[in-house]
Amino acid sequence: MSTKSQEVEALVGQKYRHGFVTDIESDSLPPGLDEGVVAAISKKKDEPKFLLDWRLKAFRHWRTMKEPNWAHVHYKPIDYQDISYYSAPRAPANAPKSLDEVDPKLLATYAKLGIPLHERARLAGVAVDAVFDSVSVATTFKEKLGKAGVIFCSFSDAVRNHPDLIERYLGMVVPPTDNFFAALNSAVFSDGSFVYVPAGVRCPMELSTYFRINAAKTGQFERTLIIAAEGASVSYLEGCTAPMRDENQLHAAVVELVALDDSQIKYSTVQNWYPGDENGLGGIYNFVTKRGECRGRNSKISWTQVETGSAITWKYPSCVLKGENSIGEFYSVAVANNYQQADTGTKMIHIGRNTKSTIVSKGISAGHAQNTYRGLVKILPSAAGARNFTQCDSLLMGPQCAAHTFPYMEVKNPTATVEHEASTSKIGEDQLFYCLQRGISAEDAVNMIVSGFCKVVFKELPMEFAVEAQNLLSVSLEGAVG
Amino acid sequence: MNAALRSFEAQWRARTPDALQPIREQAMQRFLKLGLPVQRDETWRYTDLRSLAAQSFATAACAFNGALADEPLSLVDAEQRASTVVLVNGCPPALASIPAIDGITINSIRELAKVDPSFVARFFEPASDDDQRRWVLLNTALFTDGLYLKISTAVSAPLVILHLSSGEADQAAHPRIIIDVLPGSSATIIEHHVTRGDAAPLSNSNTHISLGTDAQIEHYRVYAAGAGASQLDALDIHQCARSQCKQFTIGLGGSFIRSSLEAHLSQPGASLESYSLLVGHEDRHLDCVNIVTHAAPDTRSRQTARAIASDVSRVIFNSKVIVKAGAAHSDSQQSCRGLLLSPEAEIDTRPQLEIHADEVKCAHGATTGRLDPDMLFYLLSRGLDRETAQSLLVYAFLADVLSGMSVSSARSAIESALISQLPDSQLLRKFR
Amino acid sequence: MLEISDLSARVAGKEILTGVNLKVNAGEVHAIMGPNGSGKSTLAQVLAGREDYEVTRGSVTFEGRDLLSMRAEERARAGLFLGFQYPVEIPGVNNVYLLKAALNAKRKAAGEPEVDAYEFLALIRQKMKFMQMSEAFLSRGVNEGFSGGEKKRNEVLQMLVLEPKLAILDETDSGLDIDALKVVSTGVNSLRGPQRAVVLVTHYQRLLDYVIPDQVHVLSGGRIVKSGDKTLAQELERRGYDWVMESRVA
Repeated sequence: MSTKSQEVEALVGQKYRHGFVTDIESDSLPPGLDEGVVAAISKKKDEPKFLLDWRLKAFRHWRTMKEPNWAHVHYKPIDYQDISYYSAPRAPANAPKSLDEVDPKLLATYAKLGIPLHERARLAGVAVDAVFDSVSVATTFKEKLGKAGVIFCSFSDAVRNHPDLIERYLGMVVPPTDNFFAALNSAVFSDGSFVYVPAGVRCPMELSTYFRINAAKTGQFERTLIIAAEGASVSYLEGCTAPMRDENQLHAAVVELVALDDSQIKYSTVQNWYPGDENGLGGIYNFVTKRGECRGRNSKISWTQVETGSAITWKYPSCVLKGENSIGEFYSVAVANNYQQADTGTKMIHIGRNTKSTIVSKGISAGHAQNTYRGLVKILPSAAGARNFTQCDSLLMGPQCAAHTFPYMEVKNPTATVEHEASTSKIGEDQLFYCLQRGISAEDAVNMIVSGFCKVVFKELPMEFAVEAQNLLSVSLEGAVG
Repeated sequence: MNAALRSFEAQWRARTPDALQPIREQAMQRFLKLGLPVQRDETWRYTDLRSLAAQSFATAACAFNGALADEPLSLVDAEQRASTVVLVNGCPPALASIPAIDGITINSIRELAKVDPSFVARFFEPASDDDQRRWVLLNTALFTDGLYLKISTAVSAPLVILHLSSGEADQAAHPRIIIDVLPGSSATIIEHHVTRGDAAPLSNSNTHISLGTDAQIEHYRVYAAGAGASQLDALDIHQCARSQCKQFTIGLGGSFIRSSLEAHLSQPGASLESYSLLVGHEDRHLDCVNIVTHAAPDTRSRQTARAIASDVSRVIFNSKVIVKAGAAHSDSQQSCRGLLLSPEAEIDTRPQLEIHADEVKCAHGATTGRLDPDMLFYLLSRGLDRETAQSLLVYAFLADVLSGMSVSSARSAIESALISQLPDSQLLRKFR
Repeated sequence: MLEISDLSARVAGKEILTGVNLKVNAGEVHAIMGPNGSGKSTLAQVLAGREDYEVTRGSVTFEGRDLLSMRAEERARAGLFLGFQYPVEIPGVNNVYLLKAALNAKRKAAGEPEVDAYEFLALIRQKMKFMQMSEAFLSRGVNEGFSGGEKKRNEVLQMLVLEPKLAILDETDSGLDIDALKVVSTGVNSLRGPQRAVVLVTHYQRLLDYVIPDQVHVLSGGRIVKSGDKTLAQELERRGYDWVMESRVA
């Protein structure tokens, strides 16, 4: 047992592989936040007045709000005046028109990250919108998508080229007043991705965005908005990395999904922000608001996330199921190691008749980490025939870590069925022994068992991501056997 | 400061200090500092106390002018009635009037504190900020007197503690019971909460159970107050090595019940079985909180909760299992099922796990909804009519809790009272 | 006794039965065979009156009555019995209580008096002995904690107590060892008679060694694609279901 434990510790102690800093001149606002900064961001991006007003309203509301104080999440207070709210790679006066014009150092960064941005993107058939610090760098495959009528661009481009869509949908799902971090994001968001899939269109390829925080003392506040019109379908992937730095960095994104009648949105995330070192120094605070609204009948929103990074993760990708027969899904693997704290889960709000939701959450804790599932299933009186199934399992590796499960089930309709199952256990000694006896190394055995534990979630990921997720997982847990 | 808080503070100032003053002082200061819980407090999320907080409360009188014979619900057979101790509005009877029971010594808490305050202090929890303990602080500060029961052998006959509330709605009573089961001893204790008259004072009770090594208890809390009554009740259980506790919480009376249980499995081998049967009927609001802490290796807990909500009632079951670091081989299971029988009723469930050790086996399952359609079809396909099949399944739903009771008279009385609060009670009686 | 014509049915929006025709006379035993997913269990459930199975076309008469207009409990009382492939566990409901309630429901519908407790117990004891079941089963919850084989025996026990006119047994042979298979077969055979009929839904031929069918039908793609006598089952066992499909094409 003790030898195995040590092996676990050793495995867990794997170094962060994406922790390099790219040396690029950047155009940043000095740290600090007031109405002037909000206006400056808006001006830098040449935004229409409605957006500036929207930002200012959000900012004024944010100032009246108190930072939430969560049980089971501990961190030093954030000084919001010590963060730079805008950092862009300094580019020639004109934005790059094609990949060839993008700073080669940037592209090299993406290559190091293993992002299929250039040739690899083409091979993999993935369209990528990469957000570097706060600015969208390049979007590939615009042409092919354009033919299908799909709009996939940076948020700034969308503001310029499709202001009507932005004005109509921005804040529809996550209003600027929703919570402390959503309000902050609404005031200062600098860029992000925008997707609009028109009626009847099945998006011809997987869409993808990579986020990276590079500059020191910056926060990243991207904003993503995806709209699937009637009968449309789209699969969207998001990946995240950040360099190793001693101080904590804030990431407060907002993602809004809108699904109209008979449409489907699949949103997958592999989050690998820098988690801090083995003593808990540094790392990203990942305070993200993600919410989708199934507005239309028979619509479907599916969230899949693999969370291996960040010092603190606080996110609850949620579904508001308004349309009759609409479906919400949440599949999650959250790995917390060393001093990481992961507090994640989902909210499924059933409003329409015969709405269905499925929640599968797999939490893995190692080292001194805290891993919490927090989830709400709410069945409103209008949601006749609604169904929910929740499965929530935690795996513990090592005696110092912790795993918590905090579900809320609120049922106000007698024809609904809500089921919740949860378990917490140590990695199976007998499974481990079985593998060892068959000659498999402890490390491989742990990988196999953990992969098995997470399989039901991985199979929801698009192929390229499933492989990446699997690799990340084994990196995060290298040396970990219990 | 709201009216309730002001009135409790006035009562506090008016009372004469006794031997427990330091403990009471601490509790009251903490209570006044924290105030009444609000819905932002985690365990009060589904219960709004604002209308209660707007009322002023006086201390309920100890006297009761009426006959005790016609209890609305008798939980023990006639021959066991002798071992019933009646507390009126939290005031214990004269000790001389309590019948002698082999193996059980009964004392007044205040009298005992005069003789040995540090001994009594052992049975009071330290003042805490935890929101689920807010009303316990008030009880500690204001309880008039209570009973200390020492169990020193294996006692087989059940002892009934009848908590009788009578008087006015603007009064409050704070019943307090300490049950001290010495090592190797065992007992069955039934706490039965009833009201008399149309109006009832607010009852804010607390029971402390201490189980010595190898001690055993079967403990019942039966809330059977009349319509309109409000009840807050807290139970603290401390378990030593290899002790066993079987606990039943039955909510079938009153308009507002807030019931909490905090169990501490403090030494290896301690084992807890908790059963909750929560019946929402008419406009009842029933909020039940269980917190079970595994603080030692090889401890075991089982929680079984069944909630039924009809009419415009609301039932909340909030249960948390905490496994402390070092409590290796803890084994815990929670099963909680809710049945919604009306479109205006609501059931809220929170089965929580907080695990700080790795060698554990913890699981919970929770479901809320309607009757299982597969079971219904099976019964229909055997020729049963729909109403019978439905009633049968409702009855079966309750059986998991009822079948665990070893006091058969209590079981049958509870069953009967329960059934009368369910739809199709005529049909249900047939299955008994 | 049972006449199914052009029966089509949907489950969760998916067409499973696509025009079943079948006639079962009193005194006959029919076997319905077919590969997995061919619609065998759906047919059994539709006949028993499962509500979430939607009949889209066709008709079924049972002793001249329109079966499809009857509710599940009416069908049961009229003498139709379904032995479930996966009998549900109902903790908290006593086996013996269910048997008695079911028997009385049937008697009441037939205008007969309720069975008296003593008589009932004697009947149950006799049938349980016949099925080689321990009396301990009686006080347990319906199917609660039963093994697969025990559940199937329990289904046949219920059938023997209720004495249906038409018994539809859905894979009652699956999950049984050879001894249990013999017991179950004896139970089924004991019910055979000129006034009754049995429909065996099965994947394998081995049950048919013990309960000899008068007719064998192959269900595939939601309809009966081939019928024959007991030799058809043997041929299927030897040549597999593909053979039926191929010979149909040819």
